[in-house]
Amino acid sequence: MIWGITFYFSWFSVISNQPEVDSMMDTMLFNTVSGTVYTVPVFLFCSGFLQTFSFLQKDKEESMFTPAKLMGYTFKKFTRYIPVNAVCLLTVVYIMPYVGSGPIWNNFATLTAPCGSMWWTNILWVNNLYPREFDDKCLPWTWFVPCYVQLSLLLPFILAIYRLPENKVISGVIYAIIGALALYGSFEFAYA
Amino acid sequence: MVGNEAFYAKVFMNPLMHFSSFFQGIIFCLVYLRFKSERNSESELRNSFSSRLLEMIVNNAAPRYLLYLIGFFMMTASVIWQTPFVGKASEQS
Repeated sequence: MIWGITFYFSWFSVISNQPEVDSMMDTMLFNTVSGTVYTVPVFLFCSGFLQTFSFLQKDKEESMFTPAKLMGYTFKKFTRYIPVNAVCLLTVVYIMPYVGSGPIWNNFATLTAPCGSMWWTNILWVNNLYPREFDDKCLPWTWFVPCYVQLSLLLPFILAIYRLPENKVISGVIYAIIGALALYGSFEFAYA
Repeated sequence: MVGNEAFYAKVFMNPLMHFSSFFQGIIFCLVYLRFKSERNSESELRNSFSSRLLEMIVNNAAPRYLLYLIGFFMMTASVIWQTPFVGKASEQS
């Protein structure tokens, strides 16, 4: 995945062997690069599976559906990656500009310029949604982590539908409706 | 290759776009946990439909291998299908 994404982002910069890359794209083997976009839903599928497993295992020991536990879960999910993200942000903005030089090195400053005013969107996990334009975002390639955090915060509400009603048929019907709407919404959202 | 930053920023980065994959992960986990808890159940009546379906797949080679085949076919087909979209993106409608 890192290889594929690196390829995508370097695509927009300077490539010396452009004709060779163009001919590579027609080959079946190149799909191992372009197909990396499909790994995102796979990662999120695994994330949903494993987080549910972990949440319900803890719920077996003591109920997770109490205000204190839910607040603890939300706080943990929200703050868990903030230190790592802050270190990455500070490194990219304040250290990386000094580690290289060359005729195209100023591209780096252009790429990280939005971080001067929009750094807080990365700390609050909203940089995938705000600002809307790609060029205005601070480190737009880190979008996966806020997306993961936002979806993780929904998890207790989704699991409450399963956990709270005695009759699981009700849960099944609600899940079927949510699933159908989610699938329809994804297509509608992507192709509208 | 056509780079569409507007689509990437406004659609692909949005969690609503990926909610269905995350939700499917949750549902599969609930089915698996139900199966796990009911697997050693004495009473057959306590077995849910999802558990019986998984038990049938686990214990019968024919549906299991058929599902492997369908999975392999779908993965290969998705790779082959996207080749012209990547190679000649501007020619696609």
